Amino acid sequence: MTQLVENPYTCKLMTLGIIPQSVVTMVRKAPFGGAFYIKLDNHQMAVRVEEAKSIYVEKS
Amino acid sequence: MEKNKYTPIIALLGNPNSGKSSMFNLLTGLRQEVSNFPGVTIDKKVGTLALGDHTYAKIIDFPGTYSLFPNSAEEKIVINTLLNPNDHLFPDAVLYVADITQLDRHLILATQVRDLGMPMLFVLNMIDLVDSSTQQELSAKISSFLGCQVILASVRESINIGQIKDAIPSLLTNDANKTHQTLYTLNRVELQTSDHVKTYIGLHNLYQAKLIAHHFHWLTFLSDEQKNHIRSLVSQNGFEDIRLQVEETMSRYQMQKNIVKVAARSSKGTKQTFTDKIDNWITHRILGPVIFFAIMLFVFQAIFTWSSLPMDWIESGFASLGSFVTDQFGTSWWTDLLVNGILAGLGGVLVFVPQIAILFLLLALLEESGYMSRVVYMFDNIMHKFGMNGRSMVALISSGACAIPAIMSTRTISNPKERLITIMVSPLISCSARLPVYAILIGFVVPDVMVFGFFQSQGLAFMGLYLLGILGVFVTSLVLKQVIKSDSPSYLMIELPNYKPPLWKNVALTVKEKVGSFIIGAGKIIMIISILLWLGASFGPGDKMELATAQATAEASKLQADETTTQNMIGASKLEASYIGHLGKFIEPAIRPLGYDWKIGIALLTSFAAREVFVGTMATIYSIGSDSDEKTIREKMAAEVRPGTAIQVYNPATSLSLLVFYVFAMQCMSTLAVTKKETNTWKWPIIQFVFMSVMAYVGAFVVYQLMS
Repeated sequence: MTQLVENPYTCKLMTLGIIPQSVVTMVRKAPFGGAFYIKLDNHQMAVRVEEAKSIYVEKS
Repeated sequence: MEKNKYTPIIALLGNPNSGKSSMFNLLTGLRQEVSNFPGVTIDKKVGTLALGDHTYAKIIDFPGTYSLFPNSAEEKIVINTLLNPNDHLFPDAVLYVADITQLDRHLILATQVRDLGMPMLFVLNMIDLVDSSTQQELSAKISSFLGCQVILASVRESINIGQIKDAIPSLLTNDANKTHQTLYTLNRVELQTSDHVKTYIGLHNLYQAKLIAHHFHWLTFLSDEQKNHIRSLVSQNGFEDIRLQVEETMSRYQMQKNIVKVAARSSKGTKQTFTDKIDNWITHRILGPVIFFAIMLFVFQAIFTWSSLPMDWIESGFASLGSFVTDQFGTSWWTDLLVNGILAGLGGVLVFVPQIAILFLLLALLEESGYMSRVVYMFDNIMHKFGMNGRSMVALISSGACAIPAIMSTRTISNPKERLITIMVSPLISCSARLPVYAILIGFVVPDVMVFGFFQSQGLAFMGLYLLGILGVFVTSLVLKQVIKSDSPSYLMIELPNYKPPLWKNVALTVKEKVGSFIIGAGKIIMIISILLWLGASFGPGDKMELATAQATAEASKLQADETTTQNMIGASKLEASYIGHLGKFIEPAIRPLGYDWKIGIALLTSFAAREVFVGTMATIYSIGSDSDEKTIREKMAAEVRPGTAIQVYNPATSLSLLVFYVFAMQCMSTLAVTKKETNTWKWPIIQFVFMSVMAYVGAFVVYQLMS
């Protein structure tokens, strides 16, 4: 992950451990859409597609 | 609580899922009480800890918090307390709990709390998951980083809990724990603003002042004048709220980098964890929802099957207690009040205890294991379409037990509109109090036959009533989504914690606490209603009661009726002449279009306090003394005919109309009271009451008119 867009989601994403330089893996989409199951170094999270838009990533 | 002014207060702080509450249970055992934080219905758990020498400390289990930049009503409580040194809950010291495997996030709040200058004891939890050399290294590093004592512990394995207790007295007395050098260095703008705020409020800590500059607009301890002054200070100094929050958080991540690296070393590896494997199935795009519905089906099956035996015991226990009292002390006005008023009412509450205990037990297991957050994730999109949040699913599922804890659980929803809609629609889900009403009436609508050879028809009808409630939720929330306006951002962003076997002590405490508050809360209302009902049914205006008795006796002897029939006839005509009978007759015109007579009217009136009262009222009205034997009430009701005709009172049309009425009607004072407390205004409970009553009346009207 390279950077975060600055908006009201940012602070919350950061407190959940999503910060620049962390490794984010997209695991799966939610059954009824709208959200992703993502994995960070040592934990899992669910984020909405909207929220994920403020995360900029670099493919590895 | 304020028995002793010198009892020091220790705040238990930490991230959600850090094992903080388990730690609280271990430290305080059963010496804990649950009340609410002032002004809100957020659980405040206070426990007592013996420090030796007859001195005690109070431990407060604050809601799990990610950072001092809060996102939910729950987190705001923590910040509101920590920023106000005059708050009566302002802690003398902090016991901080962090998960050793999640240090990257769990250290952030610790560094913030430390910058507030509070003495802190840092507990590194779940050490059983990490090798001992890493433990030692982390403990030393964190200790020098935060400048406080670190204790390695595990709540799951009960490691070093005694050591934590032993360390608390010195935490409270040793001033060396108070450090003044902050970890985070304020920049020029922050320094200027905080300095002004600090002088203006009269604080001792600069970081406290900085947080006030961030949060002043919702802090409850500031006056409007103070808020206006701080607002001008903030804008004068160019204090940019969001940018500074991000900068501070980034800088805190930077300073703890070396510690997190050590922790990450031990948990490296790309292999699939236990949690990953389970989630491949449980959160699967197709299987996930199927598994969810299977679990829900199991929960409701369990509520019915596991509870039937203890419910029988409670019912027969109360019945024999009632006859014992009558046998021992004879019939007089006070045994009548005791048996037919108080004991009948009390039995009416206690009979639900097994069902409620099972429901809360299963829900607590789902919550403790980490499954609920997966449900939030899976259903977020659907809920979002109805103006709610994935987190609303937790509330709606809990509503199957009782709307009160359900409404209280909405505090995790940060968006006010989503939260309000969830609060408003939760009572439409059929709760456990509706069960006995459904159970009694369903027999009059649906004959007990098998459908397709394996579905029990009455069971299907039960499910239909639940689905009707869910339909009500969807329709109402769509309407409310259009009506309520809000521009606050809506979040999903939820941690999906690792699965772990539930701690039985936690589960047991939750069930005990919930069942206890049900018995006391609902019990009080039902007791009062039972007594009022007994009074209203036993006395009448003027000499009407005596006249009714004489008339019924004369009629009975004319018919040469036996003793029981005579007594029943006297009872019935006395009821008609009583105060409550007059009340029933008064409202009869309004409910006749729904197919109800004045006796049902009485049951409707009494059920407005709490719907569980229905069965007890039926029992009193049909003069069979107590509701201990459902079958006799049902038989009695089946035998009722409209005066002068052969039409059954409980014909299918009336019974179904009543069922629909009970699905929708807001017949629970406690729920209205909780809605008032959570929304802080009478507006929403009134709206809730009105729209649910209208739905109930219209629904019942349509059903009756179509069927009769």
